[in-house]
Amino acid sequence: MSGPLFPQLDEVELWHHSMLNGLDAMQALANVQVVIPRALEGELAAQIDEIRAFTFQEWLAWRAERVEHQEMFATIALFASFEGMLKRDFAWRATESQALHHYSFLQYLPRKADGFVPLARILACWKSIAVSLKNTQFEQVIENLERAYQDERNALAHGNNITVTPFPKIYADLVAAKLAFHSAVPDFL
Amino acid sequence: MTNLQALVSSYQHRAEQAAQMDAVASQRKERWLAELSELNDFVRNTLISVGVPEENIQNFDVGIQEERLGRYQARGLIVRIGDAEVRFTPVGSMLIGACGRVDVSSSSGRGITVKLVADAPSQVAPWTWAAYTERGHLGGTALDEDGLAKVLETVLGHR
Repeated sequence: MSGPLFPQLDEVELWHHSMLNGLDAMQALANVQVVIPRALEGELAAQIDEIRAFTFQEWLAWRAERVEHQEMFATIALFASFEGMLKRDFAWRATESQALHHYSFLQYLPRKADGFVPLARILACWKSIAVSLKNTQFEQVIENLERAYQDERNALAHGNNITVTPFPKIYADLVAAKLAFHSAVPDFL
Repeated sequence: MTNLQALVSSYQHRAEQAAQMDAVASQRKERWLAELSELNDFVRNTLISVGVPEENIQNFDVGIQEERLGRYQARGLIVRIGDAEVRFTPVGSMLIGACGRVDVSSSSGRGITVKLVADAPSQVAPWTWAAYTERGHLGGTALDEDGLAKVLETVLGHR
């Protein structure tokens, strides 16, 4: 029996490219000027129907808007995936039974009654650990994450970001940050 | 076949293909403009039959530029109904999954544009027109007299 599903960074990237491939497939449809079969059903029918009777210029504008939205949604999903990873590690690391493992958080993070700990506090804890280890590279990674969540993720999630964050850069940065965690913390989940 | 023969043959074949595509595009444009003319006649005659004075319905030409069809003029209609003016503006024929489109809008109302979209049931059958107030085809209304009434209700904001 499989356990709970936690979307990983690579899976988010795969989903993102699948969505873009879908738009490319629709572009092929737009280029060949085919008559759309009436028999189409379900989601595909609804999607195709939305672009029916578009001129090519309208199609280009519609596609550009979809790509922009997709970039935003996929970038938010990347941040959510990484945050989930940090919180799962925290949940494991902060339990009594794990108190003797590397970098127990018990000394840093007395848990609230409802068990919720903000991501900012978890990152702050990792930063103090990086300082105590004198690992400036790891400290820099944590600082970059703090900035990314504050400036990029929050702006996107709260709808304040009018510019589209380049997905490939955020993806590369978070993959590098994940590697940095595994390198600095031997038992990081 | 020598290299020279292959080169000449290839260029001749390409020219033939281009000529064939031009002929198809030309036929498509002629068909579209003919079907548009039929649509305009239907709208004109239907409105006159229900009391719109003939002089309140005027033609206007709009320039359209489309891939393969090039630049050409298409005829639209301006209809005055009471104080309101309704425009039937041809959009084009090179569309995704449709053969033709005319947008209907009005100077009054809430600025809603209704799309009249043509489908071709077969190569020879007349195009069928339907009206869509939203994107897509799922909620279309056949363009008969009742359909035309709904179109005008929508663009004029009439309840």
